[in-house]
Amino acid sequence: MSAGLREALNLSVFWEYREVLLKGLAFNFYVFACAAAAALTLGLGAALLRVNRWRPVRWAGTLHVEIFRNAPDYVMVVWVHFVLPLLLGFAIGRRLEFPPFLSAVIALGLVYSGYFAETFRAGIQSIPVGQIEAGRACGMSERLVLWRIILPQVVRRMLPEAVNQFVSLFKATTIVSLIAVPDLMYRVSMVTQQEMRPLPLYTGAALTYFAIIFLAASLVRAAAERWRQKVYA
Amino acid sequence: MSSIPAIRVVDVHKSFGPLAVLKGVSFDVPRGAVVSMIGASGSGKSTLLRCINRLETPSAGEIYIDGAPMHSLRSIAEINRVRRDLGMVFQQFNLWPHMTVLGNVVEAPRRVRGLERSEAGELALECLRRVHLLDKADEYPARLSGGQQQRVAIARALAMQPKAMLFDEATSSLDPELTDEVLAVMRDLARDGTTMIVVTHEMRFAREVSDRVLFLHNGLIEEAGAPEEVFGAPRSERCRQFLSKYLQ
Amino acid sequence: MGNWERLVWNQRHLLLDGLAVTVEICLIAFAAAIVGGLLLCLVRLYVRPLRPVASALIEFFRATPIFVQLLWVNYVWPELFGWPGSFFTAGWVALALQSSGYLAETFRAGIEAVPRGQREAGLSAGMSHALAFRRIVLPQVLLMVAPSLVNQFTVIVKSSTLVSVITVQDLMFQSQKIVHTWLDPIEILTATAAIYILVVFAVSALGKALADVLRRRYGLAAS
Repeated sequence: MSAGLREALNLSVFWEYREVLLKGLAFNFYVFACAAAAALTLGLGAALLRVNRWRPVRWAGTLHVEIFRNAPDYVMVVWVHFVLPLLLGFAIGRRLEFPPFLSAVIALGLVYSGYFAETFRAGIQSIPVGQIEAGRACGMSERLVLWRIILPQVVRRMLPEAVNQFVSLFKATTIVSLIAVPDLMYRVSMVTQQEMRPLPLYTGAALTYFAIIFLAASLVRAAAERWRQKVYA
Repeated sequence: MSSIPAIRVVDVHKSFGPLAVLKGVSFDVPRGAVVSMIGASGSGKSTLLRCINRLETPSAGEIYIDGAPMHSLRSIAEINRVRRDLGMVFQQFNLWPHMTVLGNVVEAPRRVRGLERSEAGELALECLRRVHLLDKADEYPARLSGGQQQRVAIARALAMQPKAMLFDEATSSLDPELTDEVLAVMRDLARDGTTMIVVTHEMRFAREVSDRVLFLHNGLIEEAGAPEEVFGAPRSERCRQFLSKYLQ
Repeated sequence: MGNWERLVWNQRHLLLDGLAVTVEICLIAFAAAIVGGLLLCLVRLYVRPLRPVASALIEFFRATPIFVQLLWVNYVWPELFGWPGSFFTAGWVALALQSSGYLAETFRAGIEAVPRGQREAGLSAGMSHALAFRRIVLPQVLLMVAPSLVNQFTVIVKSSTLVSVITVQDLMFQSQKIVHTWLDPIEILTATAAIYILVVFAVSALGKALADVLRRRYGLAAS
């Protein structure tokens, strides 16, 4: 076992390929950033649908949330990459193919829009109705009430939960290697095929993700908490 | 001086499902007058007030704000235009916790009336001065006492320069030591000629400051008249019972 | 698109086999995660010298992506420890490790939510610490965290799709095999997605119902 342990912890090969691997990590961040933007926008939209006055509108929002929140990330990624282009191709009468990066962003964006929608909805419904009435009593339009009273507070209240979901999303970007997006895991498996030394490479990948996520999550959580405290005392 | 009353309420009914809360209420509020509404909980006072600024929609009847038919307006935009002329002060203050005191007061003049930042700022500071809270302008509401928060809420309503102010049990959530500062501000407003409808349990205030007192019971106005009449010599038996309980 | 019958209905045996494997691996992983999570939690709370070790493990399992853990357990552990011997085992071990990190935190929150006075009442009645824990604290913790446990099970089900990558013949694996055989992905992948969504939705709904019952019957708020 000790030979294996020494091999696993001999990260020199990981270090050797660090440039290639870091470029892969950058891809994880690109996918994360784009998917996060999509997920936030779609999630906010779905949440607003779910608190709408009319029942069919609420129903549409709930449908969106329940489909995407319950779908496994990997299944969604595969479906968006292999099925969606075909369906769209039928619709416009041409043969379509999605670049892997696009499929990844769409798939993860959709899945996480489901989670964010729930977070936003819970936040919106936690705002005391009196504050909304005070806004209306001043003659504020629904749009003003939403953007000036509801959303600023939703962001503050739901920040810890949202940070958790961002962390999950970043972790989820590792699966994009499976549709050939050249992220860290993809390059690790490429290098493994070349160097035939899986132990240090996979161990190195695990440690890298651990370090990034642990540090980043701790920093962001601490900063978010300080920002919240400023207003809520 | 126009003879149109600031607020006219005609035969207003309001039911929530099978529960009838208002069963035909009518009264006028002349410009510059202070009208107090007293009565037991559940008598419909708050519901009536909320119908006036359309936070509730009456099931039947008419409500005119300076001639505008508030009860029948369809679009939110039209309703909001009339709401600009009404200021409401809530029992729970309902200040916006993520904005400073000044931020709370400046918000509506800027975003709803569209005033420039400097104009709105000056107006807000003037309103804060009227409620004696100029020094707290940069604090967040959470750091203020209940009485202070309610005075900020009054300043916020005043900043829209409304034609009438609606007070929905403005002191009911306050500790007794803190109600006086709020009542003092309300007295000043009355003295300055503000048109006010005050739903309250503060009988002494109602007696001293109102031009007219309405006693509501079970969704109807049982007694209406000048304070001396209603408090001194009420005609309705229920009103007498209510007052005897309150004026210990 | 009468392909539905040819591609999905006719292959239902394969799909059901895959689903059986999925259910099996998820249940084993879930049981292992509960044991592992409880162990980590108790060590962290009550075994002073091992506290940093437990904390480090919890943080490691939570911060590492499941896919990375899966590959790591599958390719690295056999060299290091000579175990796991099969892809299936590697699959549930990885899933269990990931979830035990989260469950350790869930259990901790649950234990800390039991009012201290109850433990003291037990001790005053003459119970030992261990007995008080077993008869008073633990039952309440289990009731309180039950909805969170159900939620974690849905996470396991969703993550289990990745074990197909290390050739465990779960539902995802079978459906991809069918796609490669018949070269027509639309019906089969859509059906697979629908199955997963429905299963997760059903489990989720169960969890919500459970939370409602607990709140109404015992006045416990889910943690």
